[in-house]
Amino acid sequence: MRQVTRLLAAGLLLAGLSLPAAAATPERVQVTGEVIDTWCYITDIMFGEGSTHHQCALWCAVGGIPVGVLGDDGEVYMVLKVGDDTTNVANPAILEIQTHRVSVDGDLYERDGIKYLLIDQVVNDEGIVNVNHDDFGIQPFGE
Amino acid sequence: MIAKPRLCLGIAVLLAALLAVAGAGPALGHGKEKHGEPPAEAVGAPEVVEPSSEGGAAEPFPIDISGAFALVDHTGRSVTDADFRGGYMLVFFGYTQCDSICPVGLKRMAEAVDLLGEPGERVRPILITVDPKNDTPEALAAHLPTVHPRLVGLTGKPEAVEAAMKSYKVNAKLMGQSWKGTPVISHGSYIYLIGPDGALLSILPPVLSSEAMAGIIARYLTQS
Repeated sequence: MRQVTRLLAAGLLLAGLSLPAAAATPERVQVTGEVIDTWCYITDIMFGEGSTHHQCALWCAVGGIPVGVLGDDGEVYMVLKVGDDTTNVANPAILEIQTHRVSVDGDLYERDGIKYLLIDQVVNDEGIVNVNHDDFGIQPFGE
Repeated sequence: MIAKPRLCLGIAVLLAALLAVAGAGPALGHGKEKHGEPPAEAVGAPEVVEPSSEGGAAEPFPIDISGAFALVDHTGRSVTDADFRGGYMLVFFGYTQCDSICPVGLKRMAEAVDLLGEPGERVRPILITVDPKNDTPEALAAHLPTVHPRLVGLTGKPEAVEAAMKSYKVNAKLMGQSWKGTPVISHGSYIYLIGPDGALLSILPPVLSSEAMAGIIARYLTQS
């Protein structure tokens, strides 16, 4: 009940704010960072970055769990599409760059505190540079 | 070092286990400093996340998703998206035999609706199947009450389901079978918040906690 009260209080508070004019057009951005599986990263269920998590990240992406880019600014950018594809479910372009450090050009939409990225193209792909499986092992099954 | 289980299970079972253990997660964003240890929010007491004022809820979501469908609900009644006008829809694509993201996505969606309390009665949670072959109205009717009493299940002929997926830009692909012989289908898992006029208001990642989802939805409810 307390959670509900806090939730509604937050909603009522926000209702009183004057909202900024929403960007009907996206912001053109270039984001550099690591392609991540958002589930394991955000829930912190396991170490969700780098080579230690690459295998799991592939499986989660195939399973339809949203892929994101963990930007160098620390923000998670939820990927809605890559290139000409309309979705990112088992998108070969996504699987090929999973866990890679990339720079991507695209359109950025912000909504409800969430950043959504529609990627036009991957302009730089450094491959997996966050090599950390010696420290954390291969998750989740081990080597 | 993280424990490294050696037992090799199927992907679907793995995901189900992981997702079941995960519980609720924090909202997106930075501030993560440490990984690899059980976080407090993964074992309970998820944070109540206040939605951001960024983005302007009064504006339609600037992505071209029509949200149109013409399907059959779990009672066998033919319905279209127009039948849900006047209220809010939370639309998730999945299937009843899914052992991976569906149980978690649906659970969080259902919990978010409950967290809203009475205003949440204006929000209709909807599951559109990506497995019309197995998810008949009867199969949906048997499954839905285990998730939420007001959850609506939608199915139809494959071409009708395909059209609904296309209108939401959702993809689905049969990947194989589980050890139980049930289908393993890869599918999009975002949750779509549709407004009373049929416009797309927001796209909620299923990785959000129920509280974060409810916070975002509450913002739209209070503004309408």
